[in-house]
Amino acid sequence: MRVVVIDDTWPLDRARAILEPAGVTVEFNPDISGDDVVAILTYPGGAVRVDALEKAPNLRVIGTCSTGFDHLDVDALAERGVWCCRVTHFCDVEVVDHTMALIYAVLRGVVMLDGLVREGTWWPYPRAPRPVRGSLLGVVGFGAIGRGLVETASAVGMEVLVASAHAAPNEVAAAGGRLVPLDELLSSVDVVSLMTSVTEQTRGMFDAAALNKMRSDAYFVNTARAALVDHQALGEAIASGRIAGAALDVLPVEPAPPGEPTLAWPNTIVQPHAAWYSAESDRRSFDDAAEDVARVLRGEDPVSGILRPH
Amino acid sequence: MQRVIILDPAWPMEGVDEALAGLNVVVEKADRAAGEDVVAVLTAPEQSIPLDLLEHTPNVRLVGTCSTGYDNVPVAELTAQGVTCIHVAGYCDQEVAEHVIALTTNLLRGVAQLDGFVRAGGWWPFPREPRRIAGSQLGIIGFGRIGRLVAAQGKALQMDVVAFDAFVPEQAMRELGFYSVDLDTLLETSDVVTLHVPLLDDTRHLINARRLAQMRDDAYLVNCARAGLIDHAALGDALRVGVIAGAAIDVFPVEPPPPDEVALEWPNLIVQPHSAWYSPAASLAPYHHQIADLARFLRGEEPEGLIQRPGSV
Repeated sequence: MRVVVIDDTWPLDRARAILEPAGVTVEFNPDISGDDVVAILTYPGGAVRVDALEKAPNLRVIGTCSTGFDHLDVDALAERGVWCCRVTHFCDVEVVDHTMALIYAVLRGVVMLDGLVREGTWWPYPRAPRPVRGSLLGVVGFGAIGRGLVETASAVGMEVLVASAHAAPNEVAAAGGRLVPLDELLSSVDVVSLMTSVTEQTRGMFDAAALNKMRSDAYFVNTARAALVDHQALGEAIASGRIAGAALDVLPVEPAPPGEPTLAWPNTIVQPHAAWYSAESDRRSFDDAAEDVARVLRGEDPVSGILRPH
Repeated sequence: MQRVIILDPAWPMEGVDEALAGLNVVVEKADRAAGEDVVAVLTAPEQSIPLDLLEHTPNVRLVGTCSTGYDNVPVAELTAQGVTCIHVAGYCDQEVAEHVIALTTNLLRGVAQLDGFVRAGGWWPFPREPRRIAGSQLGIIGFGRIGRLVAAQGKALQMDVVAFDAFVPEQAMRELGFYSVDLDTLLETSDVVTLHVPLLDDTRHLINARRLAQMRDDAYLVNCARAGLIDHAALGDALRVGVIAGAAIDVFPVEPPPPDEVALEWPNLIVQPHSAWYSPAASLAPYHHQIADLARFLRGEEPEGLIQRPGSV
């Protein structure tokens, strides 16, 4: 029985140490075909759709070294008896850290001011730094990372509003935030931060209508998923000055292809999907995914299975 | 009528005459102060007060700088000649602390570098690996008002905060909830080192080649205080050779930096236009504070921003 790794950055030594005791061999192979293939280890750039079962009919489990799972046909695969496992909470600290760094960057103007000094500008600042303490942060979504961001932002003195379809007002309050309707959040805050996953309900939810509700001096920070956002509308909102700018760690196509429109937007910080990263979280993303796959192969339930197969 | 000379061409004049009404002075902007009728000279960090000021303005009684740092004012010499020296303190402490934390978090997470990396066509692997903020050690040199606010924000981000201050007793620091360490330990162990001491004879080039060599090779240096605290050439060498991982500077030896400023060519450096102090609220405060202090002085009261002696902040 084989476990096929389709991510060429996956540390195979550690995957083997975790999986071989379950009676499988582990190999890197972009081709997932084979009757002996029981598991696939993948990453956000490696989509696995339900047609994978045509090539690997005995597939039992897919592990992705990411929290987001929009690159997997989870429902259809579960219907065909395949577990999809993601990794959760392996980078909660890092995403909160990176999001805070981006919030500080946009409010204090750090990246833009660096560029302006290099162009010979000094004073007056074309992009005036704003206070962090007392500024309003809007967090859309209240999972583990959203909660962490609310706690950290309120600890540095920001006033935090939360929009979430699932959270209760008292748990938001306990983290230091205030639960409000999304419209109120959008029209109030200095910085909007997306902390929700892509679902039928959330896909494309930040469209022109939503962005139009934001303050003209507000920033849009996305360290979640690009599919939450209508990027054409976001680009127009920034170019026309209807919002102040953005910081994006996620792009519609990753890696950013040459000519990616985002790179031409003014007042926008672009990151290479880096919010999740630290040396510690990097290791955990691979190991946690491999361990869940090993659990399924041993006949146990995974810790971070997305949808139980039926 | 006595004259007050303002050397800073950018000084906002709204409300100045009203604040000084009835005090028998006129306020003028000029690029140098001269005349027997000049009683006060106000300036900004970009304009230094010359050592021979009294040769041109023999009756000057007050010199002020609308900044927290006062290395642009020869305080000792002027004080010895009976001139009162004032600065403004406290109007932008929170802003500076926030900017320091902005630079600290952006260095640790590699934000500016990664932005440039994506724009140059890069994606993965990262040329500068983002590090955890939580659990990283923030070393604060100088534990005055701003240093303490930086410490509080670092702690809110769950950083391990250590501080060195030659004038703050260890016990006082511990009571505030922070670890006091000696300068060697701070430099040798911190992920990020940030400077919050005034520029004095004793602190000029506090961070020199030897001190930079003490820092970890993956450590970052933040300077939102005064450029003279760092041996500029030594910092350039350290960045080019990789003695430290990077730096962020809000202050330059010459401001604005001339086109041939060498720092603009250094790798792994974030540069800022002396902007840490700024917020819309803070932007007018130092001018208003200083004019109010001038009015106090002219009425015979003690100014709030009195520089007691060189070295005290």
